[in-house]
Formats: sequence, structure tokens, C-alpha cells
Amino acid sequence: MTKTALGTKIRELRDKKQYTLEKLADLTGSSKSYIWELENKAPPRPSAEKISKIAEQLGVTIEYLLDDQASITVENAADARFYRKYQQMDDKTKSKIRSFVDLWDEDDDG
Amino acid sequence: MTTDKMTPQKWAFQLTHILNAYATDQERFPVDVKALAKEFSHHKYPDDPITKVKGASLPRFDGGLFKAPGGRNEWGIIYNNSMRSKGRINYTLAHEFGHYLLHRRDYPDGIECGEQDMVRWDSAYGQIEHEANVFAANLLMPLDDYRKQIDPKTIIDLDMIGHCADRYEVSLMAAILRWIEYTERRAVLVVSRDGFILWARSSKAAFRTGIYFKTSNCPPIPIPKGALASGLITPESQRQGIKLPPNVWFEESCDEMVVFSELYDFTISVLQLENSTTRYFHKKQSET
Repeated sequence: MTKTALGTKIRELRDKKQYTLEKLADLTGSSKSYIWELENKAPPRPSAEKISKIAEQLGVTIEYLLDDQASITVENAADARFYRKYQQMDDKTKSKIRSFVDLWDEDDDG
Repeated sequence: MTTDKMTPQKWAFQLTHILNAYATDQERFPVDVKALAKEFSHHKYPDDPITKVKGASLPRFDGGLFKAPGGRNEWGIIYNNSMRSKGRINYTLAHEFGHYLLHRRDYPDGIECGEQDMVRWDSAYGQIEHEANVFAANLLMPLDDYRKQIDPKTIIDLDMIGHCADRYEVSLMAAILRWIEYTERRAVLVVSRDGFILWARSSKAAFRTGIYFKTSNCPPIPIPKGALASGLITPESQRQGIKLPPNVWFEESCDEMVVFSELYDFTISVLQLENSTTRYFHKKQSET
């Protein structure tokens, strides 16, 4: 079970709109459990038609919803996962971590 | 020196033996992972030890194992110390120490773990993450000590689990999962979100009697309406939970306690069933 970037986005957008699962399901002609699966699991082939309806109801483009997924090739699942996690971190966190590595000797909890 | 034959459990046992021998009863728990990681790695792998452990506020990051700059053969653990639960921090440190012992040869540039990586405990989630979690659980919560805190035959309440979470400085979730591993009672941990089960784990005794939830490669399982996890009913005692009639979670009755985790946005249910019954076992068998 891996939560996808698509699922995270749908859930965040749905929360922002303060839609319940039922509400988004109704608006998009889907079942409640289908939306839940999209958000929390990784259904193998989300239907393009459904995704387009969901994008419309959440006020974003399909490209936005699908963006992250498209960039992941499946050459190595583990590497891809680390890469994705790293991408999701904000730049401040990344540079802070880098600086700790650079200042190896000066900077330690003891 | 070979590390490949060492399993997460074997590493944890080895360290547990050392700690049991050298630490006094008062200082034995929680495990001081920072000191242990540095001292043990210096002793065992003087050629590439852990020389740095550094915490800072690092949003959306849990922790990582890093290689020292400039080609030096040293390792460091950098972690997010702004996580709201102290237990999460200790677990993260143990998890990264596990990566060092188990995976540094395969990942010579280090390993970084993001938020959410480690709160997803199901074993399907990435082999190396799983191994680091197994190591962390075994190191921080040795079963011989845990059994002294909670007898394998005891019905638990949240105070008992809370006591263990404090003792080992781990999250409630980590403490419950560890207990589920060794309890002789029939019990199930169910983690849910928005009214459906994310994943679940049964004790051996529960599993043997057909009490489990399958959550991968099958449609989502809704939380029953009468269950505490539905958020629709409130128990008299949060700590002890509620006795639920038959046909809520299972055909038979069970006790349910819940913890709502706002931080991670999921609900943890602990379901406990009576221990006797072979009845349901036969029933399940005849269905298949």
C-alpha cells in the first residue's frame, strides 16, 4: 500500500473545499469507496473520466492532479520513492540538511 | 566483515544483550539511541562509524542517514526534533541506526526518510523501511522486558499501553504493534481514516480463529456503524473503551478502545475478543 501523490492532492483539495467523501463522490458520480481508494491506496488504473470529473469539481486541471505520477518511471521502486520524498521536501529543509552535512564537525547534539 | 547475514532481529538481540549487561535497571529504558549508535559503531566498525547525530527543526522530514562530506568514511544521523511526539523521535533515531547497520553498504550515499514513511507500518511498504522498523521495535522494546510489563494473557487498557509507550519512549502505535506480536489473547489493531480501514494487524491467536482484515488488493473495508472508530459513539471510559455486541466488528462480541490521532489523521482501534471459542474457527473453515 503506497499513498500516491495523486491521492494526497485529492485529499488536500477536498479538505480545502470542506467536502466529505460522500459529497465529492456524489459530485463526480463515483462511489465513496472509490474516492477513498484514490486518496489512500494506489488503484492500478484510475479512470481518466473520473479523474477529469474530480479535477473539475476540485477546481484544478487534470495535469495538475497527475503531474507527479507521470514523472516517475518504474526502473527502481525504492530509488523512485526516495527521490519523490526528497522532491516533496521544501527547499529550506533541504538546504538546512545539506548545511548540517557540510558542517559535520562543528554541529552535533553530543 | 559481513553484515549481509545479519537480520534486523539479530542486530537488535546483539545490542539488547550488551545493554542488559552494562546498563543498570534504572537506566536501561528508554534506550539512549544517540549514545548507543555512536559507541557501538565506533567499537564494531571503526573504519566507518557514526560520528554525528544532529536534530533540528526540519519540516516534512523524519530523519536520514548521511555520509560525511569530502570522502570521509563516517556516517551521521540527522533528524527532525520538532516532531510533536518524543516517541516518534526516539523511534526515528533507532530506525536510522537500523539503516546504518543493515543497509549502508547497499546505499553508500545514505538514506533519507520523509514524514509518513515511518507511520506506514505495513510490511508491504518497502522492504528496507520495514527492516529498519523491525530493528527499531526490537531494540527499543525487547520482548522479555515487555512481557514483564504486560503479561501475554492480560486484557489491556490504554493506561497499560501508555505506560509502555512512556517506558520505551515510543508512540502508542509502536507500543500496541509490539504487544500484538506476543500477546496470547485474540486482539486486532485496526488503523482507519475517513471511515475505511487503512490496514490492520491481528495477534496470532486472533488470526488462527479467522479474525483478521485483508486490506491489500481488495476493495476498501468500511468501519462498522456501531464501532467506536466510526466516531459516532462515545464510550464512558476512553481508557477502557466499550464492549460491543456481536455483528459489529465480528460475528462475536468484542471490546474496542480507540485513539484518534489528529496529527497523522488516522484512528487507531484496539479490538479484544474472548479467548475460548473454537466455534468460529470451524465456521470459518467450513466457509472456505
